[in-house]
Amino acid sequence: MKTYNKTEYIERYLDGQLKDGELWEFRVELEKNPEFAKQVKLQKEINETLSDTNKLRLRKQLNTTYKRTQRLQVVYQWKYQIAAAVTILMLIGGGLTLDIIGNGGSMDNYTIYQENFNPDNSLFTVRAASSIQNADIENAIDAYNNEDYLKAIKILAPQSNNMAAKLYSGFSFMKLSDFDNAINNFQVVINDNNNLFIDQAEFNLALCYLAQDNTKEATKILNNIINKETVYKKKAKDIINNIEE
Amino acid sequence: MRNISVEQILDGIVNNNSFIIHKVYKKFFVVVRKYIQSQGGREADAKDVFQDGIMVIYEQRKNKNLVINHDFGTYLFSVCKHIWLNRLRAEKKMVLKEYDSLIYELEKQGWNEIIKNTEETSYKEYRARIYQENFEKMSEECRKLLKMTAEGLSVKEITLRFGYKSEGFTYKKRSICKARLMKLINQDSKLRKYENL
Repeated sequence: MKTYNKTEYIERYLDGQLKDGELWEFRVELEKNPEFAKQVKLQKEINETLSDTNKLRLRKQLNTTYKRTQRLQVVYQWKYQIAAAVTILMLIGGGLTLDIIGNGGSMDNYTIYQENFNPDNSLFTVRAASSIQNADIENAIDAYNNEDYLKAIKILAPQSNNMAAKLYSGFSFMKLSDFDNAINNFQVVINDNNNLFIDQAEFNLALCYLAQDNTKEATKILNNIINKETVYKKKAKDIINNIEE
Repeated sequence: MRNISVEQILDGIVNNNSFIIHKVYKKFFVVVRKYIQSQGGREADAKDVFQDGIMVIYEQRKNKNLVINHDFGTYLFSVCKHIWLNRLRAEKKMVLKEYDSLIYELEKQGWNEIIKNTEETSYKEYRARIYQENFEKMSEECRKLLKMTAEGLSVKEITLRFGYKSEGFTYKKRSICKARLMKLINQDSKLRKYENL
């Protein structure tokens, strides 16, 4: 039996799709063949793991956080080394100062994201711009304000042509640290190119990339924002100045 | 962490709050790593044990409504220590006496239930982490397909979503992806390491 046939056979058993005769054969095999039983258990466990979206997301978040803390550690070590070198230079040369270290230095991308992610200001724009009669948007914003982001996403999901809904779905996904889905929603708003939320979507899209540590993509979008006359111009400039080299 | 309560930390873990998780990592990982390295473990061991410890706490909070009346750091450290010693024991790198004395210490603190739950959950979480690590190595198409299957979508729905030519094709594609994932997992030496746990 080819490996994938055996896999499919087990999958059909787990799906409850085996017919009576097949099921009987399957159970016999399960009893007499420990290796087969082990594979069945493994496949079942894998399905359980993949179906638990919350846990998958948490593990992903833990990995991302670990990488971030590691990077920060390297940056700190590097700063200490520079500090040591500067001290030696100052002792030798006397009075030589360099403003490399300390608060004026670069920040890590995740800290920049956290400091700049503030969608609350956008709330008023959305409430004002979207038809107030749209009860779903109102309910979703209420769910969002109550920190029930999954509920907000569920309410907004059917509103695929409503750009306010897309913007708020994006914010909700950001709150859940699901940046891939947040990016998808902001892209829809930007690609629509005919709504009031493009500036917010662009700025938050850049923040999503920062949270994912994708400096290249974030910088590209931020430079694009700097070249336009919007309320985000200054913020974008400040972030660019803070982004690590 | 001065202004964040234990309850906020536990809820933050269950809700995957990136801010809380970042803070927890920043504050407590160093302590766990230092301990594991002092016991002959490596950086990678510390990372795995710490993450499994958080997942154990997630499970305990979500399904058993865990309440911590002490300091969160002490609790997390005890869970991680328990996981690590249990693994050393499984690898036969540790004398039973050391493990027993830890259990005695935890019992003294009234954490008997936690000991039992940690033992049950930590190996499950260890295996789940290996499944996920290998799952992430797959192509995007396979990942989406397997995720949809695991979430209970019918083959008919999957065929429509992917725009595949037939349900038969979806079955075949799904089997190939799953077989590939099974192969990766079966080849992962980490999976066999603690088979006796």
